[in-house]
Amino acid sequence: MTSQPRKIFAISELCTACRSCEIACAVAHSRSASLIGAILEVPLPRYRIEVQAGSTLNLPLNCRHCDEPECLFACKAGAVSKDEATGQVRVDLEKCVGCWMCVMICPYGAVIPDALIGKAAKCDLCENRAEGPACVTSCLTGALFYGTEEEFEEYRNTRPLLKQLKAHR
Amino acid sequence: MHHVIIGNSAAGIGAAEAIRQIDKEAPLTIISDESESAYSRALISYELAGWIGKGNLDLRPREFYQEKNIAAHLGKRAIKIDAGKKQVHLNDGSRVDYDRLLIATGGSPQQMGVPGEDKKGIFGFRNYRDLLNIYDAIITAEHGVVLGGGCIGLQAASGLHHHGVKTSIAIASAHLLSQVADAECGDIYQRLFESNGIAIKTSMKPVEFRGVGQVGSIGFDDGSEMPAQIVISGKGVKPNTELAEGTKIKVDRGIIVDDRMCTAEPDVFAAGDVAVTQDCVTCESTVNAVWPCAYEQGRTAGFNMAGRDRVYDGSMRMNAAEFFRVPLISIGVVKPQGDGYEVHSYLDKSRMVYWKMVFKGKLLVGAVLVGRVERAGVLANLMRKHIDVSSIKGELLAGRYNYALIKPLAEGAE
Repeated sequence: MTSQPRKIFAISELCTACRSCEIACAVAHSRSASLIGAILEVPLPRYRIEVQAGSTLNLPLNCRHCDEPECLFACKAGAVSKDEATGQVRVDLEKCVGCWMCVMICPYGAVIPDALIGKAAKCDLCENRAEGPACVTSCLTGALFYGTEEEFEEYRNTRPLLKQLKAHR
Repeated sequence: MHHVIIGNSAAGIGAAEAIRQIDKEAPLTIISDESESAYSRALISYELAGWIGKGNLDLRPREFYQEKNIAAHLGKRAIKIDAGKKQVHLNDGSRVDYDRLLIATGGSPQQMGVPGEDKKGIFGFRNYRDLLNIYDAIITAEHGVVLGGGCIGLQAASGLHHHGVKTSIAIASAHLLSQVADAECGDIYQRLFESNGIAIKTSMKPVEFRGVGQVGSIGFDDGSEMPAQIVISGKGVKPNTELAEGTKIKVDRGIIVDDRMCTAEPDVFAAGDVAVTQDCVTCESTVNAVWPCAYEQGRTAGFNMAGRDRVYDGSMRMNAAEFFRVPLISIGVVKPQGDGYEVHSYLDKSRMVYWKMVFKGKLLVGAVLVGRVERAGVLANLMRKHIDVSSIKGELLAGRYNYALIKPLAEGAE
């Protein structure tokens, strides 16, 4: 890998579980690319980021594009690949047969079995979207960030809201 | 350092990719008795059922060997390992020298041990050759019988049905998927298959294949007979351990390996459906012949072959499948025997939703999910890492499991 891969990072403390990212993700993965259009589509477009609520935290979670992608190892259809240049883990929907091996193996539960099309849905980093990942651009509190790990650390350390939150506690 | 891999499926490819991740230059040879470029055996059932186009079984692009600088000896069978000379003998008389060798020869369908099983029209369902033979037989077959009610058997039955063959499944056990899941799960799929026009006969064993040259019917131990011009044996596979003969490699059902996938013979590794590993949930030594384990074992072997120390953290009994659009995931201990287990389940027959969780003490040790399989990997993660789930049991049982729930526990376990 030549440079650090760019990924989507989440700051749990800033997530209010408004689920704007889920909607933006679904719209970004719809054919019409508009909210109204997306709602009317058959099959409904599937969002690939989920705001999960734990007992102590809100976590907007999508594919981690792992360095050791277990979904790739487990895929018996050869549908999952890792881009060595960008680090992105991709699913080739032409090849996916919906065997759900990836759903069974992903330790994050970040591969979504899209029952409507019978194939695995997961974050593709909105690679064809000029503005970058829709979840990130839609987040109202800056809880999501797209960049390298280093860039994320810097971003995280400079969030005024995060400082306020810490002071508040 | 010349790496030689015998086997061209999940474990073999897993090893090759691991070796190339570390070492782009070292000579690497793959030997396979099948002549096809790496394809997925597991996809033959999907092709038969019409889910994917014919010949679309590639596990890796055809350029894989060239791109990864791998010498591929395809269509040649390794017949002997000379560990003293560090050579593999092939069936064409040639010999391949190795410094590190991986046996990833997989398994073969078990013989049924039934008179007449060599008749025409009776097939295993394991490789591409089987698939092509089945295509030929389908053309004239009116009735088909699948013997075996595991994932392979059910997929084979769906495939025959798809091609208009009047299809039945006959099994020795009392319910479908007896090795994969439990009776409740089996019942769901039995009703599903029956409602789709596939007959299921349980608790009966074949005693004879009848017909002159070509199979025409099957006689069963209860005296009944079923017409069948095509028979697919969905019985389990047995490890292909023949290459261990004449070496120090220990075999007990499969090839015995250490936690780095190394056999008793130095520099000889084994991985995949041929290898005996420790199950990380039950701690028993077993052959967990499933795709994800095979790849991971191959990958572990590959790293160790290439000189990067890597310990295998154990296999897991796991299965994922989908039949007639109803998905199934089954992980770990799902039919607990003995004391100390706590079992919870939920069944909604009309919506074909079923789940079951098996606990032992503070640990989740098994799960069956039918109909809704989202986030199953989170459960597998809990089992693999032996995470104490006592504080989140309520959420697990309510189906409210996700990574956010287990994150504090999972990070604590690392």
